[in-house]
Amino acid sequence: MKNLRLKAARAAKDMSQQALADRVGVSRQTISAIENGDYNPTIKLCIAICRDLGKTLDELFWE
Amino acid sequence: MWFFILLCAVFVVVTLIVSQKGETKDEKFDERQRQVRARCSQIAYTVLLAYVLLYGVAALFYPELAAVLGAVGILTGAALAVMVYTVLCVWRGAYSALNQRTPGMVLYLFCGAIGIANFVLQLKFYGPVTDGRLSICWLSLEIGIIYIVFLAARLARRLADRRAEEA
Repeated sequence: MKNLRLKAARAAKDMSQQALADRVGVSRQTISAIENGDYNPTIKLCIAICRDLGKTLDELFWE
Repeated sequence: MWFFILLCAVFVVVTLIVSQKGETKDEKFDERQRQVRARCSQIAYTVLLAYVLLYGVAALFYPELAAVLGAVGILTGAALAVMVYTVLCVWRGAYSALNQRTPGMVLYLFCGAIGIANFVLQLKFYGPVTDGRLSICWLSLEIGIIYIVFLAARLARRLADRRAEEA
């Protein structure tokens, strides 16, 4: 299932996939895979993404 | 016989040195990349096993085929496994570590061209068959093709990345 909330939160900060990837220390393909629902990130990565985008886990990853 | 033992010893020493360097190099792959690389290793290993199995069965029923293929037939399996591993890693974005500079496309083109040029030269020198077995020139062709396939995979990945960035 696609994670459109993550994509929207990233777009709201006018951030590219590469920019977010660099900030949280992963590859651009990893961010792309999470947004497309092809990869389930660990809680550690989820927290890093949430912190960077200023969102909570609930807002970005809870169904 | 001594040559074979020496070759094995060199192989073991080189493997130990490379593995030691690999530990200290501190390549940084992210969590998804590590998973992908592990999965690609499994797939490549399965490909190698399947090839060896098929080759073994074919050699059992058609010994003349194994005799003609010789070393080329055996090494093709290893080349195939390496190719599968690398192409899958490239396509799934797990080839280069985050702190590692990816080798340039020109290098792949150069290696591919060298392999194919070697094939042409060796074909002239040895011919396609030597003493009833495929000559060494076919290995050069395999190496050349593998590098061209690496190049194609890298180009396809880059194209897909650009499209994803634009979307």
